[in-house]
Amino acid sequence: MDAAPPGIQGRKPRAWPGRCAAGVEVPAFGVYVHVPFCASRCSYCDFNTYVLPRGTWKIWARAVVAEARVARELLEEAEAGSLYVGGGTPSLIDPDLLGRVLNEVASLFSLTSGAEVSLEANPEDVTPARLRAWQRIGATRLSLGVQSFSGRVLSTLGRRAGADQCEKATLMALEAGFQVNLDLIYGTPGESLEEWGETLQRAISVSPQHISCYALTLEEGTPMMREVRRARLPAPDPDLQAEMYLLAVEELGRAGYTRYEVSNWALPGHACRHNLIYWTRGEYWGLGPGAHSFLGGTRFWNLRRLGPYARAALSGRLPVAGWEVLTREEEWLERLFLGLRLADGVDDVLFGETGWDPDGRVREELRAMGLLLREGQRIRLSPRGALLSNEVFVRLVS
Amino acid sequence: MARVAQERIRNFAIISHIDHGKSTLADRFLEICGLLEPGKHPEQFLDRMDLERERGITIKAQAVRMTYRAGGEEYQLNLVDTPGHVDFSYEVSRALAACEGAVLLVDASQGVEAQTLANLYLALESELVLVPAVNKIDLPQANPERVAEEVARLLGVEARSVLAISAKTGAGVPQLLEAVVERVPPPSGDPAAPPRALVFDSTYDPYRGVVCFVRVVDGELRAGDEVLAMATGARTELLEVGYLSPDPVPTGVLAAGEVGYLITGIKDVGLAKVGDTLTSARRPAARPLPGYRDPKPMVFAGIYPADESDFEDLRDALARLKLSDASLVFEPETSKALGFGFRCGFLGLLHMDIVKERLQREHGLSVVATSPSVAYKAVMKDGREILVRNPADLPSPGHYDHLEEPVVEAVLVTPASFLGAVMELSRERRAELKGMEWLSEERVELRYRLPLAEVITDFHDVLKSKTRGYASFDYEFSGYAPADLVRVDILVHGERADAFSAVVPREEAQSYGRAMARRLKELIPRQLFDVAIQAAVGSRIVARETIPARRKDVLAKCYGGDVTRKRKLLEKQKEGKKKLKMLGKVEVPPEAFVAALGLDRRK
Repeated sequence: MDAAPPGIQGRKPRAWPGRCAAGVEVPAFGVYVHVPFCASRCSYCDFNTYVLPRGTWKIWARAVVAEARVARELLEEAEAGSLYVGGGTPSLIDPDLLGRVLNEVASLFSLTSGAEVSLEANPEDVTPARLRAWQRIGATRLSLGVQSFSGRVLSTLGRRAGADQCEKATLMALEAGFQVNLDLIYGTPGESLEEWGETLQRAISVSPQHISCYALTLEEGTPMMREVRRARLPAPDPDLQAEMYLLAVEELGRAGYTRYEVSNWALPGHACRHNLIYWTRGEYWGLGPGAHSFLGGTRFWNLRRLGPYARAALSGRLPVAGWEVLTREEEWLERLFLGLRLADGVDDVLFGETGWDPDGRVREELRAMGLLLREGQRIRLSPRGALLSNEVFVRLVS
Repeated sequence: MARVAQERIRNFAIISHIDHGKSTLADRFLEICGLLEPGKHPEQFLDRMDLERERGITIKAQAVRMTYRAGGEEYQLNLVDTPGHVDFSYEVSRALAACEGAVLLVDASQGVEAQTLANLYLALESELVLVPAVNKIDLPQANPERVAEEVARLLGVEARSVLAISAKTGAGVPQLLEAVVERVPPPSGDPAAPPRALVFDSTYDPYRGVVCFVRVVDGELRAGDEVLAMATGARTELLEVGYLSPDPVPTGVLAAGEVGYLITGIKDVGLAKVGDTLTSARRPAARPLPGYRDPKPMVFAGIYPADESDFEDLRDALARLKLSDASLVFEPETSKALGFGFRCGFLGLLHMDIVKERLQREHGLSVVATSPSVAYKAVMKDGREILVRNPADLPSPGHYDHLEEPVVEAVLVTPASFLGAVMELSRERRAELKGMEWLSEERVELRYRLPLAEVITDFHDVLKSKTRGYASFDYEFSGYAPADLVRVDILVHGERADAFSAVVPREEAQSYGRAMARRLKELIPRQLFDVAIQAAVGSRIVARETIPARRKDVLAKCYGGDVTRKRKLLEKQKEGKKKLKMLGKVEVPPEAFVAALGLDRRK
């Protein structure tokens, strides 16, 4: 696509003033960098990643920097308040190469000093040397793809690290001074409630500042989906997953973690600022193949495959695959479902503005069912409501 | 063709079991008489309607006139084709009443079957002369001697009077046609009397109006005559008079003894029904020909448009179908579950299938049909009788004295080795054995009286599977009989789901209730609350299932800021919600309804 999506040219996204959410200052603009490489594909994963030879990393690095330059030519000014390096497996690639990319991106987007710089890492890649290297290139926060502390679950998921390695990586990262998040998955086929409880306990015992818990979802085209279809693996049981979620709410709450979003917990003051940009509908530019951006009321997304992406970026074009300008209704819908994901919830004002549920009957019904909680003008999801959030959203807007 | 005296007219039909070769034999007759050129016409030429050829059965009767020469004489042969399915047994009886004789055609390897017998009994009622023949003698598994023996025993004739033919190769067919001319008597009506013509079929042609197929018994009918339909009182001018050979040949007149067609100015076949007598409006006959019966639908079902906005189109389509199908009845009804539709009455299951298929094929409508049921009669305490066409409308037990259900007289033919299995099935289906006869050493004819409701579920399928396809079955409606029946209601979260109400024998209420509750539990998606599915007889709960509340419905991680995908999924879910049908507070996808209505009472 030659022409830039509408509404971007000449914009001046800035980090501040941001907004306050989940007890932290959320910047108004951040940058995401997608590293699409993995050492191997996990059985459940349908993200935009590929297992490619090392030689391609450099192409990726040059293309990302090229894209950042094109972006900056379009934006009149830019000042990012956060940088998030996700994947894929950012920890897989050579830290020096990564560092050169981040350095360029930070300077092109005028990354503010003291900004949150997150890096996703696999436990098997974490070594003291790597930790030092990542610190050198500016990372402040490590999000570790632990997924589970059960060896059996890890092997079903097709993860490379074992439970002990996961624990050791976490301790080392904390020791080195990183803010640490553990990504956990619950409801893997064959996982019992007890096993999940043990994973939670072990996660709590190593004391990271942040924990994310996601229900395993079967995605089309993944090896796990094929195994389930052939009945070689049991399908995830949604009732059990519900139990597991409620157990996480209870255990993590007891350990002092605040659930500030449906699937995210943090010690006070440690919520992830970058992810909060997404949920508060702040602006962001996503660099890299398949990355998503949101600027000036337009959402756009990049070409997913490395080849086409790099060709476009390296020839000085935006490597955009598609875009949409949000209508007013779409914007309302986003405000509702993203807002309700946050513990802060949404304000009744939204309903007045949109005309949804004019007499408040649906909200009252959902409250009576224990799915919505109300405090003054604000409504938010209860833990049970969070589990049924799709149904709650649809009812509120129908 | 010159006018032929009555003594040289032969009106006859072919009666046989399905697939015993009736239509192929008709092809050969037409070839012998020079109406068709051998090898240059589609097979089974007389089965004209597409649906007929696909299903291998004849739905509408036809009559074709042939000229046959023998011994220097010219004969007029009218072959009256009869419908081949039990749903149309009244039409068969009227077509036979138009004849003086019939070929009784039996497959040389299959032997006499139930349909052969049922049609034979109808032919005997009309006092037809029968010309028996065994067909398919060219097949390696044929046993013509044994089957001829069987047929002879049945008719009380000698085995050598049974002809052996192959309609496929043509062997023996000329001799058969010769026998028809020899043995079938000529008509004997009064040519001078006021005209009386029996309508044995009528169809609706959108361009020409109603076309009646008739047998003139007395007098004659001419184009331009004003005729009176004696049962309905309708009057019309005859626009055209002629016969089929096999294409229409207008002659302007049909004389006593002749078979042919009349084109009328009527726009609705309901005014010229099968079995009615046409006479001259100016010089009417004193009394009609015997045997007229109003077409009586036996099987009822709700027909609903799959898309509610098609209701008006469905009404128009049914009205148009009715123009050519007097036996179809319909009236609007409302279902809490299915919305607005029609309660339709059919002659039988095949008729219902045909109507559904025509709605789809000729009118492009997709419809949902409730399970077929019969019409029950509630005899009230004050003696009034109420006909209940929809199980949901049955009055509560306190209000009626007793219930009656339609019963049929059935003929069943089975190899002796399956006698035990057949008897067992019959007991299960509340059938009362009325008679039994050995057709030969290996084959038995059983006569039963059984509830029509049993027949329209899956009796035929089960019979076929229990006898490995060897038994055959045919039946005729024979009135109402008291029965110990109850209505089972299905309550979903305390609300009655009318589409699932059924009337069943008291002792089967629980098993039906259990099966339906289980089925609905599988089909209704989990809701935000526990949903009880109950089966009830009156206020007594006979079965219960619970659909546990849904606990989890949440989208996975919002990966890398991809909000668009998530929003689209929610928008889709929102659209899906609009299509849900409400049973009280319970949301049910329309597909679940359709699937649940397909439940057989015994599965």
